[in-house]
Amino acid sequence: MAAITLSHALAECLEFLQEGESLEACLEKYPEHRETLRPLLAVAQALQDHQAPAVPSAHFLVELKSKVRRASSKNRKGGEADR
Amino acid sequence: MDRSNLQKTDDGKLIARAAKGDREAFGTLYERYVFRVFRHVYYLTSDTHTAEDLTAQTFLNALEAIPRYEMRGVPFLAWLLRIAYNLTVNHKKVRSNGNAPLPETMEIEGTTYSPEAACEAKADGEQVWDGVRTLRGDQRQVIVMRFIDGLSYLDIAKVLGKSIGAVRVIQYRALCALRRRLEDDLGSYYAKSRVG
Repeated sequence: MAAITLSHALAECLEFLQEGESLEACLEKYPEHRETLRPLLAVAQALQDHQAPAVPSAHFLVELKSKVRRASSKNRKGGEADR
Repeated sequence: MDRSNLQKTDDGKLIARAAKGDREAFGTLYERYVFRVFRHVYYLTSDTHTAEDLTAQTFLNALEAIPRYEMRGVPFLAWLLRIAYNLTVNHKKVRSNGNAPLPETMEIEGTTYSPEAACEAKADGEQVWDGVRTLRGDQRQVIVMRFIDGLSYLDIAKVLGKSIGAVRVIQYRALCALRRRLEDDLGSYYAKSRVG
């Protein structure tokens, strides 16, 4: 039961942080969970702050697009043949 | 419909057309979501080539399955991510290679660069995302969907077939597990947060 209450408070704090509220302001809303939430929010901040720019290669994008187009054509021909 | 109109068309109409074999419509959906699917898989695998292979497979599977896609409030992206995730967990590298290299850490915008701070930030970033990959499957999925994909709790709940409350509990447990693994390494974050 405690986990449910805390999980709700944590989820709300994360949303407040995303909206630009400070960590302290978020924690003030849940004084009873303050000490539990603080390190969890710190972990969440680390997750947010350290995101690598994950971008596929241009070559891959071009190749996949043509693969998808070929597969679409094949599916369509298959569908027409079925009819 | 010309290309510029297709790009303005909402997902529902594109899906309906793609399901009837309109390849331009599916191509538009592909362009709209390929980066987000790639990013999701990359964060689960931390390997560019694996992420590319699994992204390709995700779209080819989606093309096959799109006539069976039902708009029941599950966003198309969430549907794609479910396919991507299932492919990822089945991928042999995920099962056999727990020590895959980490994504390179991005420098944080708006901070003053110093070699010490950069090293510290990199270490924290590597450790925190390394920790994510050691989480249980559902915990890892929730963290990636929430922090990388930016999905709402409602959408994550729909993808996982769970209640919003259950998703929040999974997120809570995931962050608790990460905290335990990282508590020795997050000193700088605690210090910053205490200063507030």
